Amino acid sequence: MKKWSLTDRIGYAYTAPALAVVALLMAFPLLYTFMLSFQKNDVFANETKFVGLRQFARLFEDPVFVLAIRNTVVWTAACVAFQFLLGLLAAVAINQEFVKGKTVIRLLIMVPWVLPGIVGVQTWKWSYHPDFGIINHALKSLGIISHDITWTSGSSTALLSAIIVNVWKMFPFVMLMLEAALQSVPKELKEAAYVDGARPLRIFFAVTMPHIMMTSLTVILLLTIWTFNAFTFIFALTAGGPAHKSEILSLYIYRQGFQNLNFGLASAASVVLFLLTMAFSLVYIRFFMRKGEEA
Amino acid sequence: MRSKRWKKIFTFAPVYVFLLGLVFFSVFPSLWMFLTSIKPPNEVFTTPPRYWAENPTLDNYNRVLFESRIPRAFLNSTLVSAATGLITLLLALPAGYGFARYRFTGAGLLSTSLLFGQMLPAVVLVIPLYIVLNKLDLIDTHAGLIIANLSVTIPVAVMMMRSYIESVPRELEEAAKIDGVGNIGVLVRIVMPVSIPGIVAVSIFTVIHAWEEFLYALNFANSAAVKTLPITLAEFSGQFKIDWGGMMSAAVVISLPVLLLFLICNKYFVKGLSDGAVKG
Repeated sequence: MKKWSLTDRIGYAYTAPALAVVALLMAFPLLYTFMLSFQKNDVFANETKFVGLRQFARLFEDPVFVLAIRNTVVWTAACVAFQFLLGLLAAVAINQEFVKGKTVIRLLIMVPWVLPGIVGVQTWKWSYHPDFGIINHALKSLGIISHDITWTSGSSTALLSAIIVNVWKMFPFVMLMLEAALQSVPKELKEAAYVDGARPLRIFFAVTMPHIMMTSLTVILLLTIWTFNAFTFIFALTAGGPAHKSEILSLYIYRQGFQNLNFGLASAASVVLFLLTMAFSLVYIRFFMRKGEEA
Repeated sequence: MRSKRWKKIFTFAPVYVFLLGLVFFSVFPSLWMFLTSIKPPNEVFTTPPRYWAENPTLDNYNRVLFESRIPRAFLNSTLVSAATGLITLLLALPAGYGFARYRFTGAGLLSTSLLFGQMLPAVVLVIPLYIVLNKLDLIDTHAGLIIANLSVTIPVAVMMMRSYIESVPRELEEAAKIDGVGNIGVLVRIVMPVSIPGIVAVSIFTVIHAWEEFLYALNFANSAAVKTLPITLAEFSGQFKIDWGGMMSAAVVISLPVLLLFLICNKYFVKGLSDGAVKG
């Protein structure tokens, strides 16, 4: 056995308490989820038995689970795309030199991001209300719709309603991150390109974009992981309904685990969610962020 | 001259219109929340809805503050958030210092696993955490919620603390050590005072996280004596139909501390939330 050096001992002493908490509250539960996913447990009979991969097979035979995966993909792709685009446009707009009152504009735009998530969801739910909601009223006054829309309970609008709320909540974060990155773009470069006769759009893609590439890629990765695993928005807004039309994986896990008390199946679904998140992150980092670093 | 001015207007106007639109999109729900909260019931439930509150009243607030579960939940949330913040700081400050200053064996691997831990979604842990807390008899207790919150805050806080301390020059510590100050003394008397901005950012991140945490609170708390504000707000309802006026005043009550904190220490607030999200 190698003896620990003084540096080792002091380093471990400082970090051990925090690392112990992480091991107990993250590493162990994660392993435990994997274990549970191979076990079928009967809460009422209080017995568990090893069933191998049978619960995973059951998951993929469940049309609701397959629908939940599809919903999760649609939900994540739509949310992240609009969060990023709106955030990028906002950052570029507010970064224009001539814009006055930047501080106030920034503060106001950041309100959705600062408010507790559930507050935003409940307020939107009230605004979406089919009879008393302000959204239907405004759209009708503007002549965009003629009949009230049942936003959060309509089978074609439930997921869309939640997507709008999530975009509203998170685009300010994108703006904040990208605005900071935009400020690092050297002015001389843009001016030089302008003198050379490049048009604004060309300057944006040739000069600005490369400078904010790494930040953009990081932000997109974070947004994807968060959205993929988001729970509050959909739970409080639509509860996954109607008829599972807006049910995403996190809600499926919640339903199986805490409503049907089927911890084995819920754990198997958690494992699937975990593996999908990890697979995406690894592929993304390997193919996009490494390349971004080289550029 | 004239065409230049027009050109200016054509480039300025769309940017301003776009920004105004974004401000409206961002702020309107909060305005609507506030307006609804000061409307009497007969103005809340009208078709078509009215934009303005004609007879503003504090009745909804009265109901929320004196007849609902919100005050109790406020207390629970305060307790859980404060404890989560304090424990996180007590663990993250030394750990961040250890990672920042000591190249011990396995430091790289351990900090990579913390980064990985920070990316681990809370949903994945909800089932096993429930089972573990249940075995420890901690379901429906404040301690259970605090412990569950730590699983999210600790990895993030350690990495935030570490990168802050790395940005502080280490000469002072070296000098103190030469003067014979012990390891704990260096941490408490030298490192802590210069790390105040980092400590504030970490505290804001953890407290805000605990204040709005939903998934764990929903599943690990059952009784009104433990339930936190987000859950109480989600379950807010009247006797026969949802009391939207009351719900919106409750939403204002929950948001107020956060908005105040945001306005008072804007810089730290943004740093806390964004560093917590990105740097980790």
